[in-house]
Amino acid sequence: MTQAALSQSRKNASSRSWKSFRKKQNSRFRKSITRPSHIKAFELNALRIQTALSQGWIKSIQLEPEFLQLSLRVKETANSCFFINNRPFVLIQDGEAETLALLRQLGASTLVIDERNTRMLIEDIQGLHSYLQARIAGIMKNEQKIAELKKMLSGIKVCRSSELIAWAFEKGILESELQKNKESLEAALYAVKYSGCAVSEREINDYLGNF
Amino acid sequence: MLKKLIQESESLRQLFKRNKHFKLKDLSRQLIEEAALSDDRLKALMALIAYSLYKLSSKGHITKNPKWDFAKKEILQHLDKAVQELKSKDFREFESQLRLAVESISRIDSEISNYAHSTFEKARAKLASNAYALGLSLGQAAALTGADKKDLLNYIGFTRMHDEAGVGLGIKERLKNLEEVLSA
Repeated sequence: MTQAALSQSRKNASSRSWKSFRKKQNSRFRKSITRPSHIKAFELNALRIQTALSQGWIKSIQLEPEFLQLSLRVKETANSCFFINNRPFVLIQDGEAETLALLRQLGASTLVIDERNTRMLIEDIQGLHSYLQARIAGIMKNEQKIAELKKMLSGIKVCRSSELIAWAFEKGILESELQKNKESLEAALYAVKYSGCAVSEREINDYLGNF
Repeated sequence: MLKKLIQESESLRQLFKRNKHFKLKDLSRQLIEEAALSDDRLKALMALIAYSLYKLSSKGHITKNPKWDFAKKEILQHLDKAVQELKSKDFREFESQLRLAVESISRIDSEISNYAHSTFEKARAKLASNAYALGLSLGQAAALTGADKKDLLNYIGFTRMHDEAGVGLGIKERLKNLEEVLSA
């Protein structure tokens, strides 16, 4: 294959992945708003997201081509860090990988995420390996990919809904909703924990010990 | 691999036929673990059927309902056909028979169950939480069983799963980072 043909083939591949990416982004909109708006149990959340988008405090941002490539690399690398029976153990999907690439595109340093795996990939990938080892016999790691991923994700700080609640509480932002006392804070933190935020009881108790 | 899948499909049918509901529960756990480790949606579907059948067949008000016997017969027919299709290596038809079994489960569930939220939908969240506990990401676990992520988050929230993972940075340390970002 000539250099020109190779270059054209790469362009076509890039254009194909770009088109498929745009399609996926539209499908994510459908998944977040269009589809749940027709299911009674999820309709309210879909309408809330739609309202937030129309009011502009949630923005939909498209990944630029360079960062689309980054999201693909992050996904590929993260999903090659661990193996089970010689098959890669899938840790993250497009959504998480694109979030990490978007963080870079925006030049942001802090990611708010309640999900456990993405947080542990950023902060403590060896800890994630120990967690998996305790549950899955024979899980292997690829040190080279782990090192690559660490480099890609270096400098990212993570906070969760629990920290947003604690921050808002300390700043008095929740005073119209909650009395400013330890019991209210405890109730609010457990509410986010029971909604699925990856925060442990010990973390909540340690933090409440400061009050 | 095919041999094992045939054995598991036969077990599913036999355990349901003989009302061995606790063994159906065990089978669903085994199937979802295998499905999670190999990202096998078909096995996840079998796990969902096994779990839903365990839930339905362990409830007296359902099994005593006159409609149950007919529904059971119908579900067994689909499971029986599914095993036959698998033996002849027709995976598409195997899946199609499993989906017909799901339709029958959902139909009888909506007709005689006391709950508005269907047994099958609850099974999706429950088994996705098993996959998440094993180490899959939230998105991956939800996709495996077709669970809604919010349902899954709510389910996980009431388990002790997040208490078992390492603590890492605590709330106080993360608050310091957040404070720096928000005051910049």
